[in-house]
Amino acid sequence: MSAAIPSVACLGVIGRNNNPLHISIFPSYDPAANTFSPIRNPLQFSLLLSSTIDVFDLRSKSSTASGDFGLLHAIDDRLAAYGFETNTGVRMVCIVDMRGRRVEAGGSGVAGQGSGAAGASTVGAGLRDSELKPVFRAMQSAYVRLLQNPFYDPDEHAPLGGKGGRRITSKKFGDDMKRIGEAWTPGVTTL
Amino acid sequence: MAASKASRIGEETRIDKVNAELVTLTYGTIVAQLCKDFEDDYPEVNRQLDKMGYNIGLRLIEDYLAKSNTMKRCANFRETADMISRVGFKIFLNITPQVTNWTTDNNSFSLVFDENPFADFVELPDDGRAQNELWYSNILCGVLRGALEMVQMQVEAHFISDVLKGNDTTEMRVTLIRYIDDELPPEDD
Amino acid sequence: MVVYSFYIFDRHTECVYVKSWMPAQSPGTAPVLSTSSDDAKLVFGTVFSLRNMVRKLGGDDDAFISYRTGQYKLHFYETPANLRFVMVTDTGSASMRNVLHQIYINLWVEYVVKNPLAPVEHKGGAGVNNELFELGLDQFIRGMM
Repeated sequence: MSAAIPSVACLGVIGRNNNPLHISIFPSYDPAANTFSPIRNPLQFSLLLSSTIDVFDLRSKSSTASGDFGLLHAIDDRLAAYGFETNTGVRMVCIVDMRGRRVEAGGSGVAGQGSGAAGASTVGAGLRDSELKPVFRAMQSAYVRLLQNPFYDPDEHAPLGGKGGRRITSKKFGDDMKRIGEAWTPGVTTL
Repeated sequence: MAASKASRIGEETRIDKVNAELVTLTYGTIVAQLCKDFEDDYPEVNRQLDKMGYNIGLRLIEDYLAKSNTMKRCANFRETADMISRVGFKIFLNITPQVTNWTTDNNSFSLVFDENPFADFVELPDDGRAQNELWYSNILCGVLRGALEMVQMQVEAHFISDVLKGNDTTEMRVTLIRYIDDELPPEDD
Repeated sequence: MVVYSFYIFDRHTECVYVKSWMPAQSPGTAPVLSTSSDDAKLVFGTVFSLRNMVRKLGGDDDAFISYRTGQYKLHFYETPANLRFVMVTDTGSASMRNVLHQIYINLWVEYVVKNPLAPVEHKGGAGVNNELFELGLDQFIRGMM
């Protein structure tokens, strides 16, 4: 028999003027068809990311120093959005699908992942916020690497009023996001 | 013999003062700004970088001579190449590019850069032309040209491949054109 | 030891720096060389010819270091970039090769070459006009005298 464990369904980066910078969508396991496909369409994910902005704004008043916002909101019994804000106001959002990945029960692949595997058996049980730390750390360092590219002009990506800004087109950044989204499972400490 | 001596000099005279990322970012900003100023006329950007490098080279050679304490002239161009790689690049960038692909007349060689501190973090603009036309580290060609001119060698230097463009290696071709004769004072009338 | 004067010639054979430490002395004693531009040309002609002759006789690695007359001793030092340093001292002084080398490394390179606003070439007899170099050199030479 198989069990489902959480996986990343979507990674989003939102600019400091609430403009979208980057969205990566990852397929989730679909037990009915035994295939992998995204659980929502891109427009829906975009909406979910937009809706996190309010939570960021609301909480930024009592913001934590670390920038880690933890769970922003649980969308339904499968999806939950976690957030992180850099000191420069760039938000990073990770939408987790609680049953996005299939593992063979008792399979060796899960054994080493301790708490994550245990939490996965109870569907919908929340992840601890700290489980997402490696994701945000990796996203932030990918973002820093992006900024270090002299041909990336941050001003073009932070339009006043949030309209008309350009998205991140860097292939390296996209690849990094893909790698992070695919590699993460609960219990992973470095990405 | 020459190789080990050159390595030693390069090793001993290394100095560490400025943060590497600052240099990388500064250089990156220069290139990006040139691209902007010349409206993405990349051949012109290459020329400007080469020119800037040339002016740096004219000065850098003096610093090189003062620091490396090698007041002896190189006996031949092969030795020159060795000193460039193991002393020059070692002192100023802390890298030692490989010297290879000599022509049979010993007048032309390649410097193969395993690492290039200037090009860390860089992704060339995705406009379909930069990948073909822009030589991101072209300043280095100018530096070599300027520095060698000061020690009486006229050379031609250009990049022939760059990892930023998807090539396997970053390779610069350096060709000796001639040794410059001493200048004579102008004739008095 | 007395230093009378000091010259720097660049690779274009141009005299880029002259300095004289001749005290305003009684007219009788050796006014070895004044610093007018004609003298600079003469000095250059002399050291250039001597250097070429030395190389012809002794091979490319042989260096012309100094010569001495009854009145003064002239020291010569050339860098690989064909920058030539000339110093005129009294006849009793020891070799100044090291001193000239130090001037090159510690003063010329540090203050002139590394000053990004100073031109690389000093065309048309403009010469080096660099306060730090000037001060440093004066101090250095006076320290030796």
